[in-house]
Amino acid sequence: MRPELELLAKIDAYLDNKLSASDRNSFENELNNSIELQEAVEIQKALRKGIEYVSLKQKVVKAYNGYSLFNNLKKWGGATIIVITLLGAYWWSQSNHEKASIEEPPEQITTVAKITESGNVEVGSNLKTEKFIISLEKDTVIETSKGTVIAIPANAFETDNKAVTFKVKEAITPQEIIKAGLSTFSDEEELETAGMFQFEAYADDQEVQLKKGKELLVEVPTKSKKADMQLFDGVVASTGEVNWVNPKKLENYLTTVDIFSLNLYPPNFEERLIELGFGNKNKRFKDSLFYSFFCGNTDVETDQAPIVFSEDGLFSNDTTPFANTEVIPRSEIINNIKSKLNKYEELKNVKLPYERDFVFSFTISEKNDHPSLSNIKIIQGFEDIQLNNGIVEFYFNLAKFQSNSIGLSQKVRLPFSGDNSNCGGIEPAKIKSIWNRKFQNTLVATKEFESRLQLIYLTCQPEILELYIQNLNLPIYQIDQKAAKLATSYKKEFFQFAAKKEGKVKMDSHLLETLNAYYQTKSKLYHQASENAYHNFWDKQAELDRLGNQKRDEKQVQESQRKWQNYQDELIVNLKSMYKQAGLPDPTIQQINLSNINTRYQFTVQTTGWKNLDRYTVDATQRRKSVKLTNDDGKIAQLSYSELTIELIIETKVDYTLVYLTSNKINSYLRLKKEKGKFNYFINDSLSYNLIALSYINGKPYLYSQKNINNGNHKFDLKAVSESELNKIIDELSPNKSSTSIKEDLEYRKFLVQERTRRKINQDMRKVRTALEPVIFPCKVIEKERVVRLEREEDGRIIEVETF
Amino acid sequence: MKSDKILELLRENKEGKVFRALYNYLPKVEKMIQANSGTKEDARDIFQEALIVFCRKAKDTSFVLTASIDTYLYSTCRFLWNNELRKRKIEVSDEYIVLIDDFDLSEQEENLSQLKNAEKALSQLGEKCLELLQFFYYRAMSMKEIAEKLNFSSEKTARNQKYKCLEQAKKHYKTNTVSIL
Repeated sequence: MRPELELLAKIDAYLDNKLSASDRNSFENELNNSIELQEAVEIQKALRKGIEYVSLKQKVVKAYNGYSLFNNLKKWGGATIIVITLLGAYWWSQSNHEKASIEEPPEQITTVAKITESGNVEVGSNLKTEKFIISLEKDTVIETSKGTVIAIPANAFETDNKAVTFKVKEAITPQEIIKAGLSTFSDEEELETAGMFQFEAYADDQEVQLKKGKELLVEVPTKSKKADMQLFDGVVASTGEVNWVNPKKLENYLTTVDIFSLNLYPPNFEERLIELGFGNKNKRFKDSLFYSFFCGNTDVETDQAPIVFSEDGLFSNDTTPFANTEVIPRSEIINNIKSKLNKYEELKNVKLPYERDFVFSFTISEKNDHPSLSNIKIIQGFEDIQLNNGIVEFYFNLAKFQSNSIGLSQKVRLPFSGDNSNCGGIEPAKIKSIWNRKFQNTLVATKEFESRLQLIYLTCQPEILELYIQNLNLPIYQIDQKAAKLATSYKKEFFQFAAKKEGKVKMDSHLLETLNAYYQTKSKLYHQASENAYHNFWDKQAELDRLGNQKRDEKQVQESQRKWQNYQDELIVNLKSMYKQAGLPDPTIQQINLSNINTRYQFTVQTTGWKNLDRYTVDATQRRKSVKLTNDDGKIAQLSYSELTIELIIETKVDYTLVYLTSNKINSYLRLKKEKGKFNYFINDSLSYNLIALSYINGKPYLYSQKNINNGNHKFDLKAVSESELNKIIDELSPNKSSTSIKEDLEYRKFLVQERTRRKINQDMRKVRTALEPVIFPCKVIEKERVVRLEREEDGRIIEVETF
Repeated sequence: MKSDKILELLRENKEGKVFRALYNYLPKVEKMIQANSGTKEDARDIFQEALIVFCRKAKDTSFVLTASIDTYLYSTCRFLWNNELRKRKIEVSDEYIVLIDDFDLSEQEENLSQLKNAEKALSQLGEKCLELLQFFYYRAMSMKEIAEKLNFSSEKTARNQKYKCLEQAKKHYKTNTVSIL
């Protein structure tokens, strides 16, 4: 033996404890020093255990076959004989021909002759007889050494005894048949055989017969099931030869399995789910997804997610408060748009000729479905459209567009005829009405039907599915033939199924009617249910979309009013201060007595006061820049602004962060903008500010707050805080009405996060449905219409601006 | 069948009969598994695993059955199903505990993955090779018997062939393990 094999032998001996003491010692020494040897021993150990495991598993499965056969028998209440011989072919044409001819040379056949010549009329005497004692009081399943399983119902035999001896002889392989002296002739014709059997039952040494109406159910192991097998009775001639006569068509019954163990989904459905990341979901999930599709589904809108670019605060003074909003540099946005547009031949050459303008260009092609000058509407922000050598150029002024993002997406429209009978596939509702307990133990619950269904899906003809359901009591091959005629495609495949001559599942006509009625009603009901559920859901989502947009619009108006008011408040403070410094009377008192006014809304400050003083003050307040003015008398009036920078130290990923300043002279809060990871603001040195900085982590607030914050760079840690503590602090640190409005702002942010999650889920759902649609309705006619859509994003949400 | 009789038969390697009888407990397990996000098929697989676990335990002469076989199988199934659910990332409730005290969970878990690995390696062998190994290691047949049964010209050839098969299985086992890593 090779040294490697010697080692295996040695390890075996070691594991079996068969080494001599000295050998054992030296082996263990080596084992201690060699990791390789340790590994080899481990593997061998595992394999030896594995061999036991595999052997046990085989026995367990074998025992299960007996058990399930027994159970089937009980269900059917009767039994049938299966598979024995095939007329008209030679047995040596089978696959084990080679083995047979080598191991059983022709001489052996003469041995058979000897047996017959000796006048011994007992056929197959050299075959092993297996005996079983069988109680007649209950159903019994036996399994022979060759793996044949025989189910014997209770009280099957003509005897009063409580038990019989059941004897089985079997010859299954060709060599066994020849050895046994069994011929394979039916009169003059030779038979192809799947096995020959002799069953005998004895009660007190008296042979007993099967009672009328009682049957044995026999399952013979076979590697390949052949069509047209028939059962012959053996007649033993005086010569000892057996002639096979009285052929009976086998009642080729199909075995039903648990209907829920079958895969009745369309081809590739499960594969697609795995691709979509739902591989580990259970059947309940898969079902609910599958059954949610119905004829007339129209939810497939975008075949890809719109790209959304966000330029943080570039076009508005508002800040984007979401920590997870990615800020994409302008150059990247342009490149993104370019690459996006380059996918379509007609959309090319994005240029950025001016600092603040985008230009989109579309090449007009011959086809009608592309944008042309006549059907393009000028949308907000578009300055001009020019036709330039077949290229439409859109001059797009982003400053006017008032948006911080822009996106493009492709839209696909799927027209639907509204005809339920043919919607490009087999409607899942139809499957739902057969894939249930009602259809257990029917043709539907067979492996054979499972394989047909895959083909039925491909034909997209629901009438073929109905053919099978209406004929559940027929042998499946007869339905296959009908299906082949009905099918407009895959005819050949249906004929191939028919050629297998596969049988049927017993069913009485009453049950057939019931099930058909059930199918008819349920498939309609399920369709209705799924359509209703679909519309209810998406109608509700559309309503939520509308409410969300409305809320956002209201908030936008509110925000601009609030900012304007803040500006006014500060301007008054500044004007007062400047006038005072310049030694002039308070310009605001002349107009309105502020102390008597509760609501302080837009009033303009247009006094003809000190030369240029107003203008400089307005300018300084707007730009938040210091200003110093000296008049002819040498009087100095100045405003001073200095930078406040706040950095927040947070270790985990936050949902979003908001930083507010409040001041007693300013009615509302100020929300700071984030730039390069820091929040900054130019504070008015003549005002005192309070800071409220908070982050939400998993919906829970973390806070830092400080009264009278000064300019300069600050770094703060955030601490977890309860909602009530937070409210208390907001109340303490906000003068006037700003405490309510900060709380409102927080509520709005929470709403935004929810809204964003909801829209993201819907978008993902549409993506999944779009990906599954072609699997479920493979024949649906899809007319793609490319639509360029411009979108803008506000507060992290996408709003479709215009489709053209 | 009484539990003494069952243990006796198992120790005599007459598992077939025992298994057939024990399948009568399957419906109970089916009920339990179907009530816990599984199918009948799942139940069958789990039950078969449990039968093997039980059989292997029973063959160990030091094994003492502290509960009825019914309870033992049921608990084993619960444990195995529990594991399977975790693998499928389904939440398992706390009441899902094993009833048998001496059921060493961690050992079972480790063993199972090793066994599965070995099973895979063995399944990659030819039919004859596997049969040969089973005859020798599981059924403890003599080389002479094996040579006769599998048509080897001599005991020596059979023995040689046995080690070749084992070597092959070892190779499969190793590559499988690597690919898992």
